[in-house]
Amino acid sequence: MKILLLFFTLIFSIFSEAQEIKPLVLIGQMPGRYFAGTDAHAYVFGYVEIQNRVIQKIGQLKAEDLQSFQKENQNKKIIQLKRAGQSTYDVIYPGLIDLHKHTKQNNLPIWGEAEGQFANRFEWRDWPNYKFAVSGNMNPWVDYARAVECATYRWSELQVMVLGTTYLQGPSSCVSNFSIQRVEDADSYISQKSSVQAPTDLVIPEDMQFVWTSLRPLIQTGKSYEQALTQTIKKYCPTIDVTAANINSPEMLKIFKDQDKLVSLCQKEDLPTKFIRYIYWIHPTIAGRKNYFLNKKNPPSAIIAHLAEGRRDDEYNQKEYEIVKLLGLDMPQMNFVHGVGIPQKDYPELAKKDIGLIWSPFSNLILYSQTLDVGAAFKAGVRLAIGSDWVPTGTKSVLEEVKVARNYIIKDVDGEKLQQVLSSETNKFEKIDEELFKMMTENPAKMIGHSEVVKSTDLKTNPSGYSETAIGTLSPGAMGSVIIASYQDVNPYTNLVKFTTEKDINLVVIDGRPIYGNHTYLDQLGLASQYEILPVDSDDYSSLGANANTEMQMPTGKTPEYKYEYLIKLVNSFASKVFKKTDRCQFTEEKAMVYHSSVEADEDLKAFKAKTNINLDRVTDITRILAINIMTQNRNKIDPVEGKPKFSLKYFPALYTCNDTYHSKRMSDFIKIGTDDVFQSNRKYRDNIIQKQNLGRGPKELARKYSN
Amino acid sequence: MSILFYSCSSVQTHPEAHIVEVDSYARNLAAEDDRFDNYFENYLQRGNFFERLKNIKLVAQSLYGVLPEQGDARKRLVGQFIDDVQKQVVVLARMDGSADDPYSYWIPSESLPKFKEKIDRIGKVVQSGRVMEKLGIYLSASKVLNKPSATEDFYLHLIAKALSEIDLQFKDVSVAVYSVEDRETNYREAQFAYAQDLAIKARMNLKRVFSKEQKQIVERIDQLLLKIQSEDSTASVKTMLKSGDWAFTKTNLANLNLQKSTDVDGINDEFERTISTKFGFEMIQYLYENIL
Repeated sequence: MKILLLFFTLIFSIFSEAQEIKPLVLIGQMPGRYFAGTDAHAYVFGYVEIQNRVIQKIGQLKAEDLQSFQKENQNKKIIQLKRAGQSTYDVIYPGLIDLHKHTKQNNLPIWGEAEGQFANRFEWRDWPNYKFAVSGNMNPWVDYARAVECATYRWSELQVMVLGTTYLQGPSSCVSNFSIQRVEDADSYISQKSSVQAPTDLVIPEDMQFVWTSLRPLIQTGKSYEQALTQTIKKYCPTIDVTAANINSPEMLKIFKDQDKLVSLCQKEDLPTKFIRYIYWIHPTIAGRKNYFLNKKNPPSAIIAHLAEGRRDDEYNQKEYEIVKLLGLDMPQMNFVHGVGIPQKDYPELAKKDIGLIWSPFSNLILYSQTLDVGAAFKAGVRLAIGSDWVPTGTKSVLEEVKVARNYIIKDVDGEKLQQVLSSETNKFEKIDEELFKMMTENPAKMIGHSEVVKSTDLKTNPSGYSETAIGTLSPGAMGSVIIASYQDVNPYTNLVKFTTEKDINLVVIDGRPIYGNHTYLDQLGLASQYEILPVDSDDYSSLGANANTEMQMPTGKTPEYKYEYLIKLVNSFASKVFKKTDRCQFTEEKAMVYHSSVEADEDLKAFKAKTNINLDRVTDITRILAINIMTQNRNKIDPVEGKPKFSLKYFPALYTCNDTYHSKRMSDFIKIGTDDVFQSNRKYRDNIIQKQNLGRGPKELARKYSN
Repeated sequence: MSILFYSCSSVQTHPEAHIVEVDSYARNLAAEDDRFDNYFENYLQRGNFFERLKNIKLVAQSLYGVLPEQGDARKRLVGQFIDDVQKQVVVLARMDGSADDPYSYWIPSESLPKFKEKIDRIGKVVQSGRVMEKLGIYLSASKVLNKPSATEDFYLHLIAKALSEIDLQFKDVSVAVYSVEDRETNYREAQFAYAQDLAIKARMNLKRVFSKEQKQIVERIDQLLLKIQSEDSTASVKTMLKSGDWAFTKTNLANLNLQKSTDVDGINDEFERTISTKFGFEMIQYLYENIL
């Protein structure tokens, strides 16, 4: 028996060894901040070793030791990050983190009508022109089967991946085992914590009036939200056995969620406005957030939610943080996207409570002509991260967003001494660049609770040797998601923040797996013939819009089955169409994406592939289905009732900004140092239309509902 | 018939009217109280019945346009109503004399070509409007959905009054042309059409309200909704209401919370998903329990 056991153990160990993936060793330059006793602003030549998803070693190297180092590590997969014809090594950075992305609409062009004229997010969300230009062009979406949904979300991941993002927040589905990591997915990290929650809205103007008018007076007397709500419920529904202690419990929430019972237990007349609606729908979500934070069994990572998006001087915006406090949700690990309207006086409190802000200057300035008082927030010690928002009014990734942020700080149109403050009073650009670098790496990692490393001795559960891993850094115990960029500046932060664009992202590694980059690097890593050469172009796709009506007519059936078949017919009707490539990027070396095989594991996508030959693991096919669908089937194009032909899509935006002339021009014209720019002319435009067209009545009406 | 989801309050200019690009036609509609009467008298009370149906459709489309893009249960009901009107307008347009009916104030006359069929087609629109209204009242009674805005109320009132006017004129039609049974049949057909549409919408969002781990729940509910999607037999409905699948679906949708949407439309997207599934199913149940 023992012999038999020994035999099986031997077989198992041989098999395990064969299956084991070799450690990946990257040799290149790194910012000095990752090596103790080194100038943070200098480069250090060294290596990063990744195994079992995690960085296991990081060290310095001397040029003369390189040969012996390689010899000692010959059983590992080693790559020297030095491209042909270059005298310097490329730079290894941690993968960038983007905590603010709306991933559904990023295959749309820029929204040209956003010219800084709005006061808050509700103003443009309600504007029919927005609906036509954005959602009118997004439809049909979910209706047209899962393939379109998958392609849409995958496109967003690709868009940020080619710009060095490895962790992306956003409502994606269908992205498991494809390209980069999703911030909200628990398995994006090795961690025991609950996954990050990222609901867009935390404060809902329509529904918080009950809190403002009915609960606020009680809370102002010193009661907690739970006590105030309990007292109010008892007043109107005396038979409900609610207490401040049980109001957030699953048992009590079950009673609140029984709509008929709730109505029957409460008095029929003279209820506060939206009382039942609040108890039934809104309170359970508030309770859910609190329970998330207070869960001792699964400690929280973080919540990310939009707050106070719009202008600093919008009266309603200035109230949203106060509403959060009324709800008692001003808790550590809460992070607010935008936060522009949060009064400056509250910044020290945010810092003290460990509440972070996610800054999206481009989107703010394009929509509202104002953005966060970033200098004051920084000075107060508020933790800041950069977020790219979305393509219609934002940038494609944090690496683009950071360039807008940098120009905004340097130009400092409102005289807020931003350079001085963000450079910690040194006025050195490299200090500003370091802070901006942190806003894409260390800061967001801290904000979502994945910045600290905990070792584990239980290698069965954690083969990596860690029970908690970090992101946004290069150190043992950090996730092995790194990017490699060209060397272009003597300062490693300026190198990334100011100079690096998509042409300079030479390799992207996720959990130790190279997934994208220069094909020569991928070849060296033994991935030759296992990748797809990019980029794919857009010009020919854009022409689809003009010919749409001649291709296929609007579907008449409503059912998902019918629409699925329609999509298949639509895609197949273009089967023989060859889309010409016209590449404006002209990278010195072709970029490639390593093949994924997620489609084979997904029945829906596999069936779709069999019927259309569209493989949603391939960038070319993802582009193809998106372009065909969105250019020919958008509601403006095919819906005679709800469509508005003048809003139909004029072009399909390319994956790379260097191939997307509209986006590229918008970026370069927006904030220009030392000359007039679009940002300034937008401000003038806003002033004019405020006077002439009385814009802003909606926001004023909203503010009136929340007056003191 | 009662004419509103809620009683019509005084009509106000839409708060966003200064930036809202609604058709001037629709914007004028919503401008003042007296325009209601003017519009009703000029476009919905008098004139060729065929033209009136087309005008009712335009009002419904204006209503559809002002309803939020997502998260409003009424929007899907109005969408179904528009489909129903459009369907009949297309059929009527093909009938002789519909478009150039000489009667300025339509008086039912059996001398009209294809009179019985025309009456029946118009009757279908009236019954579709009745079903829409009943579902609207059901939604309002839940107290967990928002009331219609003044502008929405205005359009709802116009539609209801126009249909009520037609229904009133039907009293002059002989029983041989349009009987109680005909009326009931049209009502029942409309009930099925709404239930089918709600089932389709629920199926579209079903996967988005349950997690990946709840695949089996999704599949079982989807199967039931699939049956509803093609159901048009009262007997089957009665059986279906007593089935285990029905109880299973009801239980699983009863306590559905708002989903954590990270979509740019945020809370509206959250409501959209829940309304599609939970309230969609509730409305189907309401329709089935009251099926004629």
